[in-house]
Amino acid sequence: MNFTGLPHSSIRTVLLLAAAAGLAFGQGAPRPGGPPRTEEVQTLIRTLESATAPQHEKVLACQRLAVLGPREAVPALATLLADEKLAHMARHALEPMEDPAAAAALRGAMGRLKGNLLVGVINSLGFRRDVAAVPALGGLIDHPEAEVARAAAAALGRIGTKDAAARLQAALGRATGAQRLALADASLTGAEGLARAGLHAEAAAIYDSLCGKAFPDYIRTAAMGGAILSRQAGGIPLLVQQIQGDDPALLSAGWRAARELAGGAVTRALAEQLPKLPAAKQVPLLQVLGDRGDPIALPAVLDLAAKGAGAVRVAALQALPRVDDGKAALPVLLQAVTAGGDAAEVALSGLGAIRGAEVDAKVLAALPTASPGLRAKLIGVLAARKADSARSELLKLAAGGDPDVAKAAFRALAVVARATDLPQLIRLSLATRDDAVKVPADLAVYAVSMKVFPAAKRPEAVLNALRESRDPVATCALLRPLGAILKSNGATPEAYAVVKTAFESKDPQVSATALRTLADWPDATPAALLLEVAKRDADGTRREVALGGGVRMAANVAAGRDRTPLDALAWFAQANQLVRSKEEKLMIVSGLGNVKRIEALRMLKEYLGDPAVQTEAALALVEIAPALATPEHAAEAKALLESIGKSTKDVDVRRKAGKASKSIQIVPKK
Amino acid sequence: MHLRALRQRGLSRRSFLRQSLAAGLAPLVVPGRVLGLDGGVAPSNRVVMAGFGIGSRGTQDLNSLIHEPEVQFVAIADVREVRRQAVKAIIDQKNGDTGCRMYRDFREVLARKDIDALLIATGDRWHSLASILAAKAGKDMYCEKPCSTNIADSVALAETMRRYGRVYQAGTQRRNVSNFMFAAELARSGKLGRLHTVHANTLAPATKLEWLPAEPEPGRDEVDWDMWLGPCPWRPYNALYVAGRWRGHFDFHGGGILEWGSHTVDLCQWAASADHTAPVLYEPNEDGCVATYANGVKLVMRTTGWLGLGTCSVRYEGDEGWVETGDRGEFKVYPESLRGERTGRAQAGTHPGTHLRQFLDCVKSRAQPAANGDVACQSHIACHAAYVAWQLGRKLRYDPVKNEFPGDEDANRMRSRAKREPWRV
Repeated sequence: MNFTGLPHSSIRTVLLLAAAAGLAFGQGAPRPGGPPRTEEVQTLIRTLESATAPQHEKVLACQRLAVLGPREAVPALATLLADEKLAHMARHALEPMEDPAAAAALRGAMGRLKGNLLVGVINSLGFRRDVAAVPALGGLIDHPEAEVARAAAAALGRIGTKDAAARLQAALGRATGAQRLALADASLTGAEGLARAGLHAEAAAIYDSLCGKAFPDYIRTAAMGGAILSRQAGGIPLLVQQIQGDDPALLSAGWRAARELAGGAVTRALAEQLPKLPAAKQVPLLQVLGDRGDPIALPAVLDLAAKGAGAVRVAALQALPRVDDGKAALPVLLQAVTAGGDAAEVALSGLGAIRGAEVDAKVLAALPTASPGLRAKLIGVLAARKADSARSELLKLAAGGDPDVAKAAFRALAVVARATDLPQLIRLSLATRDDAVKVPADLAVYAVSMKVFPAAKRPEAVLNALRESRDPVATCALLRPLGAILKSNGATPEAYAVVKTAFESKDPQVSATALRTLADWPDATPAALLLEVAKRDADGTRREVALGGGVRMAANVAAGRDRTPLDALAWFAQANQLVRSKEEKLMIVSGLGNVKRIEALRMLKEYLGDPAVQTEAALALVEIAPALATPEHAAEAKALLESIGKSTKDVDVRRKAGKASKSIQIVPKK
Repeated sequence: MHLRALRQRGLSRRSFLRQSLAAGLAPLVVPGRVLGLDGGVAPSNRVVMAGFGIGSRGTQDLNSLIHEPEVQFVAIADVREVRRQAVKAIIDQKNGDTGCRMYRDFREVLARKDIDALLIATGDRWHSLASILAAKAGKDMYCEKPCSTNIADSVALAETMRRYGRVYQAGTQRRNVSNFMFAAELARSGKLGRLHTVHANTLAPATKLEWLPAEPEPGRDEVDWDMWLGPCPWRPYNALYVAGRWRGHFDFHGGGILEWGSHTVDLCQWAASADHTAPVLYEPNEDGCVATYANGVKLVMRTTGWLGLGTCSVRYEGDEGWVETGDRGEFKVYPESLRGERTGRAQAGTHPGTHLRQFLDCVKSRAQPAANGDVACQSHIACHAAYVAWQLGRKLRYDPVKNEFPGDEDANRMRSRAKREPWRV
């Protein structure tokens, strides 16, 4: 029994249970009902007062009291403020406590603490913005312990009253070194508090006092920013002065304030400066004006976008679409694009982003007279703008003779064309003879097919075209996007029938392309057909394509990734009879690594004697053997793994075999 | 009333910025290369950098950063000797010299006037404090997520970045990954119709209060345990914490909602055009929390029921369509016709390169990057408020202007965590 009157083990149980449970759902809540909460608080207080409770229990008690916030715990917590090990946790509970007794306890502790413990209490009073602590804190600004003096300054800054600010300003005049910097930082914070309270003139006076070269640049930057912003519209002359000046710290503050100070008068003042500044300042000012997005700046930006040079013109073209609704910017951007050079890329990007319905029409109107290179870029602009009105023109351009223009048109059509455009798009794609254009054409057919709704109808347009196709080249061309659509969207029986018909074509190219489409089928429907091809086809390439596709499908079924009805083991057993080359053996071995059946294990075992694939076979066996550790097959699987462990030269496989072998337990037969 | 720092902010510049962003005027960042700054980088255009606490994720960031032409990495600060040496080896190899300086105490790096910017990739417990101290030393920074472990620190972080005019980019790189950008654009542009629900993939919220068994503390040069703990409550040393097993411990971690929510809730905030506010109602459940914005849009934080598009998935639902995407770079969308609107290459959601590039561009232009202090503050507040509701096990209302739970002092007390002396923000 300890002095709290409760067995200490009971308190410990309560707290450790809470700790073990952690902060679970609702665990941080005060206990429902009045008396339990009071009882809990009393238990926690007794823990704090206990001479024998371990530190962790007291820490937990403080954490819990921080949530509950009871006034009656203040005396016990105040006592701990002088405890090196628990002072922080006592503040953890006192610092957020609403009751004025908490602040009084912290203030009361200031007189009897020193060093880090005093710093902690000062920090907590500062966090609470305890106005009553200002006189005491003011007395600590010149404390011989540097950390105490700095903490007092910071606390006064956070409290942010006129009195606190005055004490900081007075101390600033006599301080040196690190304490001077701490006072400057605190003064910045304090000025912010004054501005928040509507005391803008007082705040501005403090900021002004910190802008001089006696302070480091980062303090001056912060102070000048505050000096401008706290004056609100009255800060415009000061802002302009910094932008005109050459002091890097104050210029940096100017750029910041130029973005943050609101109002048309600010934009106007900045825009007026634009032509007067050197190029090195015009670029950042243009960036600022772009960020402000205020049309008041349009004439100034427009002027430099048209007449500026080098980086200035580039920055003006960047800013232009952000300050204009499109009417004024459009001709300048188009002119910059037409002229080419460094600015053209930026102008193109601007054309893509600029607002205004008439922009699409103007870009379209510029196409006929543009060179092929420029035309391709302007088509890219139409794609970026997702210009629906450009669809018919893009379809015409896709049929044109210039490959770069045709490629750009197909890329744009992928974005803007509608499902109703598919038949025409397919015809255009089939008419394409240039190999470089075929790729974007296929992609366009695929992308637009994927816009069809419902999803089951997505392959329909291409399938219809395939059914009607009598031209072998066109049939092959249609099979490419069809494969991509099926891969994304899933296969259908109709699609399989069409592709199978193509596979049976007497045209070798059509048959070969269809075979590749079947080998890449999204499910195992073609697996049996592919096995037949592998059995009877004399062509080595076709055999390899068929076997590769079939192995992938059977492996997916065996691993449960595909639920198509297929006896994967039987498939592998037949395929296993067909293998000839090392590549084909590797395919089978890797596929069997997915089949967790004893028959697969036995097939793989045969490959252990084949030097060309024995390592891969061993690896596949290691993968499947542990899954075969049933009473019936465990001994066979374990023996095989042990044999691999002894015979294989591959260190990694040997290690895995050993580990797998150990995992298999042989249960003696009863 | 204490905690006034969390109360109303009336400065007009914030409302101006909010209006600008609402109008779709995201900050313009002109890449240096567009302005002809490619190739050889003049000394005045170099960004001299140092790292704090570079572990596995930080190394990914570092490997992206050191290949940017203007970056000159010169120092590493870490409480662990083994990490100091490992990072120095990477930097020295890239620089072709042995000049990377190593520090146990990051404050020595802050005192160096030649360093412009920092990569902060410490454990979560240090993120907000290290960022704030760095800003007060005049540094810009890219800081890994989560950016804070409580509401008060989130507010302090944003205020400090604003006060000092620093460039801060939270490591929420999905803001610059194409599939997430596309999905947000669909939601923001109205192509899904009127947005009614955004879903954020989060992890199980629970944390624990237990201590791992005490082990002998290594020498300070090997592992500076006191510095490792930093502002967190003291506890005895155990090597597992230092090896990364600090996650899940309440003292060092903000819970599973924050762990992924700092990415996914952040993305939902963006999609819901709510970057400068936070939900006003939080209704917890066993799995996470359902929050509601003032305009009625729901934010569902949940662990399960996703379409399998990768980690950190998000889903946005409007009355005319929906989109879901995740870290694999793929997405599912209805109606399918919206699929064709996507531009940009597929990227892994974990890839930080574009996000880091934007940070460097902003360091030079002084524009604010996508995941700046204000944006990160609000999305983190949404996560923290959800976790407070989850811990209390009851519905909470939140005022995102005053940053308080009106009339709920239990919840209000959970907005902050006192820092171990001598640390403060």
